[in-house]
Amino acid sequence: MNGGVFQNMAPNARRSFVVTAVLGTVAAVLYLFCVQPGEAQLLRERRRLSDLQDRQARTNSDLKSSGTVKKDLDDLESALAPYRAAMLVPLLESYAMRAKSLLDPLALGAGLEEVGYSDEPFRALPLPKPMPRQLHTRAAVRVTAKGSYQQAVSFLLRLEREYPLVSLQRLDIAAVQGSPAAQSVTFVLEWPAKGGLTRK
Amino acid sequence: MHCAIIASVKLQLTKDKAIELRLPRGAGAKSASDITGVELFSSDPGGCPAVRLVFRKKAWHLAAAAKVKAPDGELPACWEDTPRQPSWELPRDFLSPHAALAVNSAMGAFAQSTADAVVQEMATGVASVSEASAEEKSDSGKKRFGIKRAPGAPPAKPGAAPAAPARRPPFPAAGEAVSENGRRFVVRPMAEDGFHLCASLPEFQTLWLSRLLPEGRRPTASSIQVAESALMASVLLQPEFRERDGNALAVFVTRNAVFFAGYRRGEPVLWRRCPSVGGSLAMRAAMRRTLGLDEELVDSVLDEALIDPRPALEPFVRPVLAQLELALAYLAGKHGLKFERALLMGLGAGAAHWATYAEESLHLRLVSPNPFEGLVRDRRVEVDGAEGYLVALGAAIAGAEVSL
Amino acid sequence: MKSSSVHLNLLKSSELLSSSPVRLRVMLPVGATLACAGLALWWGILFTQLVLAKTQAQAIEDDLAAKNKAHAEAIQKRDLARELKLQLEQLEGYRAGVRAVGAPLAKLAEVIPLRVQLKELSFTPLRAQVLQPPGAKAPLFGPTENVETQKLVIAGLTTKETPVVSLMESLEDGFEALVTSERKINSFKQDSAEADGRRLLSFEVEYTMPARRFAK
Repeated sequence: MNGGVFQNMAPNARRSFVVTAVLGTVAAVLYLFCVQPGEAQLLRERRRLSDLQDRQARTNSDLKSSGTVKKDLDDLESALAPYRAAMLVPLLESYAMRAKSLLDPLALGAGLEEVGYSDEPFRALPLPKPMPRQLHTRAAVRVTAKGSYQQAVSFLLRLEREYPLVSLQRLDIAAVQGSPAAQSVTFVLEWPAKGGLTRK
Repeated sequence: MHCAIIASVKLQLTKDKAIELRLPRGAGAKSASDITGVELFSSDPGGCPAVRLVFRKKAWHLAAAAKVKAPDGELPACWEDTPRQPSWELPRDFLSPHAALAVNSAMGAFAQSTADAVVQEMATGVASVSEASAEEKSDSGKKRFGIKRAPGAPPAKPGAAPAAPARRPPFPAAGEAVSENGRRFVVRPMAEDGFHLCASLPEFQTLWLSRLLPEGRRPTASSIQVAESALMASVLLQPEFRERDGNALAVFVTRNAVFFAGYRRGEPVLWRRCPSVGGSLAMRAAMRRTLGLDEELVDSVLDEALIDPRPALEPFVRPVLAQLELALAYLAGKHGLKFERALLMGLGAGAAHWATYAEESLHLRLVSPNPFEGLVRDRRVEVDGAEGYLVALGAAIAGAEVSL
Repeated sequence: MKSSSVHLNLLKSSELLSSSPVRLRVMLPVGATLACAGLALWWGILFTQLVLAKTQAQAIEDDLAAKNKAHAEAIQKRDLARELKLQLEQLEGYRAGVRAVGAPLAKLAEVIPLRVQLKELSFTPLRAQVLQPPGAKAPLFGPTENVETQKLVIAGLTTKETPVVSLMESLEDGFEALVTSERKINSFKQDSAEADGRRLLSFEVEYTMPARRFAK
C-alpha cells in the first residue's frame, strides 16, 4: 500500500485505517514491552516464591521437630554414656599404658605374675550406613603373664565383671617346660576406642 | 467500504479502484418484505410523508404512516453543494431494513420515451423534454422544493443540446441504473412496443440521496425514485386494479400537475402529463379566486353542497377531461382497453365533483379509493389526509417490487 | 414476485449501504481497541500478581530471617543426633561382638578328665584386616564383613583314647559360648613323653568357636 493509495482512500476508510494502525502498534508495544517481560518476570518471581515456601516449610518442620530431637539427643547421650566410660584412652600416648593402669589390680588380685602389656594392631569395626563422622575401633592390647590355668581364668572372670565391654580377642595358655604349675598365659584384649574421622 | 446487501460485496480501495465479490444470491436478493417509502422535498408543510409496508400472512400491511421531519439541508443544486451531506434518521416506527426514497426535484425527469429519445437524453446529459418541466424552468428565480438554483446556471431548453456528444452511449439494460454525462438514468420497457419509461436525476443529487440514510443503521436506502415514477406504482395494490387483472386507467392529481397512467395486465402502457393544467394547488387557487374564498373554506366548499363550486371547478377540470378522453381513445384504439371506470388518485376534496363532471361528459365513472385500500391497516395506524401519502406509498410498493 | 416493471430505481447496487452495524471499517478499530484493552488488562493483572508474589516472598524471607538462628540450632541438634545415633549403632555392633568366655573356661577345668593333661589352650589368630582391597583408590574406613570366626585348639597328653573322647563329650553341653559342635581332631599320636613306664599319646582337637558378629 503506497502513499497514493492512502491518499485516495475514502475519508472513513482512511480514518479507520489510521486508527487501526495506531491501536495495532500500541497493542504490539504493549505485548512486546509490557506483557512478555511481565510474564517472564512473574515466572521468575513465582519460582523464587516457590523455593522460599519450600524453605519455610522445611524450616518450620525442623523447628517443630526440635523438641523431639532434644529428647532423642538426651536418650542418645544416655545410651552412649557407658560406651564412653568404657572407652580406652591412651595414657601418655600409649594404650598399653592405660591398659596396664586398669588391669594391674585385677592381675594382681588373680595372682598372675610377670604381667606385661604391649600394643596390638587395632581392628576396625564394621560401618553403619550412613557413616558417622566419628568412627570407633577395637583397640587391642596384648597382656602376657605367668600363672596357672585357674589364675588365668580368675583374671578373665574379674575382667568380665569389672569391664563388661572388654572382649577377649585371643587366648593362649601353654604349658611351660619344667614348670607344671605355671603356664604361659597370653591375652589379647579389646576395648572400644575412638577411631578416625570420616570427614572434616 | 460499502457493502451490497443483495448480490455482491464491493470493496472500495480508492476513489477510482474497487473490487467486487459476487455473493450467491440468497434471501437478500428477493424483494423487500419490510420497506419504508418516503416522499422527499414535497413542499408539504407537515413534513415528508412516509409509510411503512410489511408483508406478512400473505398480505401487505400498513405498519406506519406519518409525516416525518425533513432532513436538514436541501437537495443540492450542483456538485459543489454535495459535500454538505446531512445524516437523516427516521422515527422508530419506520426503522425497516430498507427505504425507498421518492424525490421531487426540478432537475429530475420521468417520461414515456422512445429508445432514441432516451439515448439522446443520455448523450446530451439533458433532462428529458416535458411540458411541466419546461414550465417549471420558465419560473426561473423562484425557489421550488427548497432547491436553490446554481447562480448563473441557465435552464436547459427543450431540444437544445449544449454540444454534440463525443460518443453515443449504449441503451441501458432494463432496470439498470447508469451514469452518463452527469446524470443517472434508468429505463424500463413498457407494454407499448417501442416505448420505455425513463427516469433520471443529476448524478450529484443521486449520490447525495444515496448517503442520506447512514450506513450501519436502519433503514438504508434500497431505492431512489423520481416522485412521478413512484406515483405510477401507487395503484398496484388497489383492489380495483387487481380485480380488473391489472387493466386500469388512473388519473393522478398532485399538488402541481395531473398525470394519466394506463395499465394493461399490470404493465404500464401510458404515462402522460396533462398539458396546460396545474395540480391541486392550482385548482384551489382557482376556487379561491373565482369564489372569493379563504383557503380554510375551500375544502368545505368542495365537500359540501351548500355552494356549487362548478363555476370555479369546471373550467379547471374541463381540460383534464378532454385529455382524459384522448387517453381513453388511445388506450382503446392501441391496446383494446375499454374503460368505464377510472381511478382518481390524490385529489381528496373535490373528487366527487370531478366524478360528476366525468360522468356527464365522458360517461366515465371516476372512483376515488383510499390510497391505502388493498392494505391491511395495523391497529395503531391512524392517518389523516391519505391522499398526501400517495407518492410515499408508490415508492414503497415499487421498492418492494410488487407486481400483479 | 416478479421484478416489477414500475420500479425505476436510480440507485446502483454498488451504492447500497448495509444497515448492519457490523462493518469492517468499524470492527477493525473496535477489534484493535479491544486488543489494546485486553493487553492492558493482562499487563495489569500480571503487575498485580507480580506485586503479590514479591510481597509474599518478602514476608517469607523476613520470617526465615527471624527464625534463622533457631533453625540453625535445630539443624545442628538434628545433625548431632544423627551422628550420635550412628556412633551408637557402631558401638552396639561392638558390644554384640564382645566375647566373654571366662565362665566356660572355668567350667572347662572341672570337666578335664584325670588322665588328660592339657598342654595348650589357644584361640587361632585372626586374619589381618585388609582395608584396601586390590584396585581400590582409597582405603576403606571399615571391613566389608562384620563376622569373625576363630578356632579353639586344645592340645594335650593322655594315656589312651577314652579320656579324650570323654573330654569331647563333656564339651558338647554347656560350652556353647566357647565352642560349637564343629570340631576336628588334628592329631592323635604317640608322644615321646612317658608316664608309669608307658608312652603317652598326644592329641590336638580343634573346635570352631561361635562367630563374633559385630552387628546389632
